[in-house]
Amino acid sequence: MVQTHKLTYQYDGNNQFSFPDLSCASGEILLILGKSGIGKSTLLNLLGGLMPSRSGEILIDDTKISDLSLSKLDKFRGSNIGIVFQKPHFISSISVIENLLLTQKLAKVGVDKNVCLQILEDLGIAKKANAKISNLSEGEKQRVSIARAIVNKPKLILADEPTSALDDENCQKVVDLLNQQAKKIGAALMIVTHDKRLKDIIDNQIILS
Amino acid sequence: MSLLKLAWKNIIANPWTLVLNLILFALGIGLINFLLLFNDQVKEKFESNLAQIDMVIGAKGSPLQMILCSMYHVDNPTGNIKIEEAKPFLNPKHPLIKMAVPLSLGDNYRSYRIVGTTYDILDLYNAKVGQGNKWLHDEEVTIGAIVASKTGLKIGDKFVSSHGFEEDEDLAHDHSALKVVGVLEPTGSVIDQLILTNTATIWNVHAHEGESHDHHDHEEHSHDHDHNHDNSVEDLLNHPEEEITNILIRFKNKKNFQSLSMPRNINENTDLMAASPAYQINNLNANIGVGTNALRYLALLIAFVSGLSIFISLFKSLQERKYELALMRVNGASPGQLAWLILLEGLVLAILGFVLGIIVSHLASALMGQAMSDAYQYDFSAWKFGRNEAKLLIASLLIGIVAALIPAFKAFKTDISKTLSGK
Repeated sequence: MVQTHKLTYQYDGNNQFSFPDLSCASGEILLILGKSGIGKSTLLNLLGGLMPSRSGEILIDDTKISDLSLSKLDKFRGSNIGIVFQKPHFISSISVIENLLLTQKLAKVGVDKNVCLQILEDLGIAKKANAKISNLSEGEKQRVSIARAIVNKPKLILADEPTSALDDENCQKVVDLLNQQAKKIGAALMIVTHDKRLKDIIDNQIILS
Repeated sequence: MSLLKLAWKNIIANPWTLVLNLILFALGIGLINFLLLFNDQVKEKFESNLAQIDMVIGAKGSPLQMILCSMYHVDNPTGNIKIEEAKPFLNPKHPLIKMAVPLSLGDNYRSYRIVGTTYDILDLYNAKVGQGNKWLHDEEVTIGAIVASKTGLKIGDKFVSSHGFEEDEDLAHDHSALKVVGVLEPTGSVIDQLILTNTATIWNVHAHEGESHDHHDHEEHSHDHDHNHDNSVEDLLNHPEEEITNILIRFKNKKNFQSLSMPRNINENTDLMAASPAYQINNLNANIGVGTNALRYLALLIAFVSGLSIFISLFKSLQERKYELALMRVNGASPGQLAWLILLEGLVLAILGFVLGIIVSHLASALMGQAMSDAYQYDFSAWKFGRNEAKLLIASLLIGIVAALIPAFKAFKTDISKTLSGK
């Protein structure tokens, strides 16, 4: 269960964003739509605990992350929030499976190779477990990126423009995949995007303005 | 997937950078360690062969050359001295001298020097006869342990010496064969590399010099020394016209004023030369020190450059990996963990470089030891590890840490949201 209340953010300039109150239950999807420059990235950074919020509240599974100290925020983020970035980044010196194992290790949730392999299996990329990231196709990279977001069974999965670079067919596939995996682990799924195609796929939506 | 393993994977992800870093590091550490090893062993060799010899007497020339020749057996003699002139110092009743050991040099067998001397030389180097006996008659020899093992000479074997100190077939004294009657136990000192005999044997060999080989015949030749020599100093004193090369002297009390001033008195008032080994060897060490110091500065420079090279490669890879670091933060890594990762990379490089450098320096020492052993019959142990290595390890770790400090700090300051949004 994820909720925000009176969330605002002001950069050093005068650029102030106030966000509508959001709510997304476990196993549900929330689509957050908005044009460029409307504060989508800022909202994503706040929800993901990537930068400290300045006013308002963010509740993730009864934890008010807007009140956490920086080091507690690091810990909380590692085990409770999974993020799928628009452009997938990985540790390039290690293999696919090692990237997942490192994610478990950093979140201190216990390293379990079988869990990692099962996820890769579910996402249809089990064969690439020992491949170097640089040897993957873009589609495969995106799947690994999803695998990494869910490997620690987070309470919240955030996806930043996961479909904007994809054709219609793959766009649908990725959303289905995200949806399935989120439901499977009982996480709230929030997709932040300007991709209008998703409007027709996901009912529960909010438009930033 | 521990941080150490990740650091390792990151390091080997750029093999050429790794190779460059390791070569530089190993070169710096290796050179420094090689110099230390070399210095230590040369010093140790010089010191172990001092054998409490307080003064050496010989013909005028270079005092250092005389010391090197008579005590370390690595240089040529400054010449010979008449027993007549040296008489006072060979006198067993001399009030200041505890022990005077005459040396007669001039021949070798397969580069091992044949030394005509008295039994006192065994006491000087604390040598004991292992097998057989001490030399007794003319043309009998007792050989050092290394001579025995390297040449394969055994008791009862006969061999022909050659003139000078280099092995040379043309210079073989084909007339007189020497006979091995004993082998010394190993002592670790220079005596292991010597072939010992009485002084008269050297005289006999050289009494033939200058004779025409045509009418040379062993049987009919009756040389000047037809009586049997014993091995005493008194016997030498009975031949004042003959020559010896050096006298090694141990004083009764070396701190005694008369003992201390004796070398100068000899140098000023006689045709002989006297030198103090400790003084000459200190001088030599100081002179070698100038050369090794220059090399040491070079080695320090290389070590500094290798630190710089690690710094630059960490810094560069940090720029390339800034997304990876931000991503690790997203996944729950603390800033401290990122800094630790970078420090680990510096440390792993330093430790690898150190290990490689130590191996290289010992290999170089082994080669050097081989060369030393071929040239001077000197044993040089290349695989001794000591305190220097521990100090170098600490220095290496420091270089690794210092080189990684700024990159680690930069990693510590990674701003997740700015990095990931490309700002």
